[in-house]
Amino acid sequence: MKNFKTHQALILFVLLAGSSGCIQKQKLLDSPLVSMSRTYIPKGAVLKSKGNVRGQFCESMTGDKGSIGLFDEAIKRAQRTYKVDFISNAAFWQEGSCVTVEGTGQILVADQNAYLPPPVANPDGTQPRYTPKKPNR
Amino acid sequence: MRKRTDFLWLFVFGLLFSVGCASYDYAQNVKLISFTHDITKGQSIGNIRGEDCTMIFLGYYLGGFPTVDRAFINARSQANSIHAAGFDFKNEGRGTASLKYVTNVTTQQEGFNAFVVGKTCLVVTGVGYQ
Repeated sequence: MKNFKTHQALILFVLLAGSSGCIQKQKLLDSPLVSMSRTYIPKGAVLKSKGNVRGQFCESMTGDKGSIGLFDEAIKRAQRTYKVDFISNAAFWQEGSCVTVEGTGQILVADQNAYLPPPVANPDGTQPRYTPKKPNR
Repeated sequence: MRKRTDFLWLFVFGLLFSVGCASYDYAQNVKLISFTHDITKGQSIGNIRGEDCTMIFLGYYLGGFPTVDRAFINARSQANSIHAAGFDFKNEGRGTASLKYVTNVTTQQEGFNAFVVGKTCLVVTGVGYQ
């Protein structure tokens, strides 16, 4: 009986050691600027840094349906969590079935007369944080 | 005991069916991926495409798996070539190195497998701006 338990423990240990060695962190892509809500910086607007951000998305065997973009979800999560418009110096990593984006969060700040068009999409479905202002003519 | 076995089978079948419910790509519709920090509104050059491919011989990947960054490099230069690990068969393009950013980015796997030989590609598409 004791022998059987020792064997079980040994198998468990080997499995654990084997599985932990399989997960490698691998760089996928570097990009100066990424976003899931905006496609460019409007004229007259500037970016303001909000510090480091991180978003992660993992493939799920049961929870997901349809066609899913791993970068899309990781960026959305980072933007939603830190409430930023862009992620600068973004690095995408793959670790097992998870994709992580790390970078610096940036928000759009308007000049006095700048017109900021609304985002093309809001990751969290809420309204933009500012009211778009028409330029003085 | 019978009930327990039935339940186990149901669980296994349920798990098998649920596994096939989602398909994953690197990018499905990423609004913006830039190549420079200057992304004031640029001029669209239309749809761009870049790919990174690897040949497969008897199940072996000759030169590693296709990578996203190489596909993006090819998309930016519009080389549209086989570029993986020394297999740089064709590297000519429109030379749009001034491409600033890409919107609505999608990636997908393409290729074929004829048992003895095969080819797998990672394809990046989007709308390019310069």
